[in-house]
Amino acid sequence: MTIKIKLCALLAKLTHYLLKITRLGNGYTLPGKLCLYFYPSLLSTDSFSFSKGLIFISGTNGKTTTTKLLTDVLRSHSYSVITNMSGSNLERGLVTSLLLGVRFSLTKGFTFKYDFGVFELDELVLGRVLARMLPDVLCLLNISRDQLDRYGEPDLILTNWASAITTGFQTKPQNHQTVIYDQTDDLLVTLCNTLSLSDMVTCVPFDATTTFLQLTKLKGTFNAKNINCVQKVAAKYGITKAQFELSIKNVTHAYGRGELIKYKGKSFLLHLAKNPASFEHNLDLIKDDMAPETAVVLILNNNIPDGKDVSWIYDIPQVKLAYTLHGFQTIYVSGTRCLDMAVRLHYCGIDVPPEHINPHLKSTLTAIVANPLVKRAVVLPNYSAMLACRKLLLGKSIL
Amino acid sequence: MKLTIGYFYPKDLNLYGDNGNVEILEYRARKRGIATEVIELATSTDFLSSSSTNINLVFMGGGPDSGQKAVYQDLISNKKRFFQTYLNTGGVGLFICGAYQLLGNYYKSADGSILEGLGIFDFYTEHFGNHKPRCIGNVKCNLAPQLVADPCMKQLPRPSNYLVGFENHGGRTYLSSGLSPLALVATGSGNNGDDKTEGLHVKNTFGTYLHGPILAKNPHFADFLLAKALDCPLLPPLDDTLVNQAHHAWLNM
Repeated sequence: MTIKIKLCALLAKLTHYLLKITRLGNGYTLPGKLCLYFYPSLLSTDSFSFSKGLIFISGTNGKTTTTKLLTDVLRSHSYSVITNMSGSNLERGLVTSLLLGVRFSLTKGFTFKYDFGVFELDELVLGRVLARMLPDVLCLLNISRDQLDRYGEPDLILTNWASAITTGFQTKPQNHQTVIYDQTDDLLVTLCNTLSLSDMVTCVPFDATTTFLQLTKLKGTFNAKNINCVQKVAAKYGITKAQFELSIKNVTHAYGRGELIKYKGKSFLLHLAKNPASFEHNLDLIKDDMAPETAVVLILNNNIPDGKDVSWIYDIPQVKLAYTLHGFQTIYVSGTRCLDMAVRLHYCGIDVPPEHINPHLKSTLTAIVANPLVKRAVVLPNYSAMLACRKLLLGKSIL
Repeated sequence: MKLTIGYFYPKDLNLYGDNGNVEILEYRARKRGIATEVIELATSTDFLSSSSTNINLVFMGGGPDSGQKAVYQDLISNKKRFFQTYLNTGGVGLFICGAYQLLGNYYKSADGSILEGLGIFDFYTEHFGNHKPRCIGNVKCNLAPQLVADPCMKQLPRPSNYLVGFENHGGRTYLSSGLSPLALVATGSGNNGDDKTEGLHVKNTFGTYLHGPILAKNPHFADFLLAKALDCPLLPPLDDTLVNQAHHAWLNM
């Protein structure tokens, strides 16, 4: 480990500590940002190696869940794993996680020793990171529309990935490159067909079968695919199906994804719904929760992590949206763009009472707690709304 | 009285929830008891079928590059004559973003290549490459005077004489001097960020860069299109408390 990296590790740890004790932030982004400012090529230095493997996970939906599932499975097999479970998935998030993982002792000095690195990466930065740091395994979960004003159309992401993967993997020996991808996603199938021609990459598909899902408490097609992806990674490293099945029995949700929070005598079930695909998936999930005493709460923000434009809510299939929400007797709409959501529902034939439409999340949660007819709420927030919700219900937005 | 919406290329040209515009037109017509039908026309649709002659409102949304490429040949070869006749004889049509651009003479890419448009109206669009930033953001614009003065518009209850929406385009459109825009920009770029024009208005053809979808944000514009398609009947008002509130919230952003 070079002096520069050691100094960065110290700087990262100090910044992280200061952010935590002053409560100015979560401390999982700024340390990396600072270090990259002083040392922009930090990731290119091969300073971080793993005795078993480095795994990157990307895609529109499922990154955080899959990262957590894979980390949990590997740790249950006694592997040491470093990860970015905070969801900080830009380059600075990866750098923060790596630097915080550097250990110091008087006898051994600075060390970085892990069996596995498992990191989720934002779809837009994957290409840039691959140019600096190559994983042994790359998991591509899905590509669909998300934050059009930031990402552009999925086609662009696909093109970006294709060129980054081919360029990046050209520098690594062939038998160390594996891309694990969703075989039900047409765009990814196209990508992997192209990659397979190149002889440098082994593509391993996963599907949506629910054999493994059924052994867990998780639900939905998305999660079936996430688990199947994890199983393919585990299999590559010698974990048998039987061993895998044992280790997933107790896996839990990532924060905000199917998370149950008890607050002032009521239950709040959070299902992150940040783009048309995840929203539609959650509509399927919440059908099981229809009951007279269960309210549905839609929270739509357009803060920086969400994308400025919210017209994606019209990409949620109208019939499914109307049909599912008609099954709930009480609906609340909140968030900075609650009016846009309420208009969307209005044009689906669902007229939310004006007193249930409120941009202030705290007032909405207070109203739900005070409503004697409501014992339970299923909440569909987008990203910053989910963090704000957790902050109000639990006192912390992430970890 | 029947509203027949010709919805062109719904799968390929469907960006930023533009499909919502058709849902909104349907809703607002049906709520008034107006019989409504939506005919979807794709590249594979046999265009000679008689049902297409009943279309009194055409809609074509924005799309990604791949979507526009997919429909381009069909548009130029099979649909051009329909659009020329329909629009020149005063048929009502709403065209968003890429669809709007295709009504003009040509689209010039950053590398200098020219893509021929339908040539129905005298304007062109040019992409200046990466050194000119894309036009992205909220837009607030004043409806063109002839639209505000239109008897069909005057009889409608309106939250304002503005149009609001969200734009995201790299191509910049330049109308010839004889053409009227749809609106005049107060905030945002509009057609090109230079001349304060937004969109196009000729006879009953409406082109715009506004997403949102535009009709979700501007109920008066939705009703104006409906009324024009049906020869300006007096439309019974709807309970637009919520949609007007949303429009005003956008105006004040």
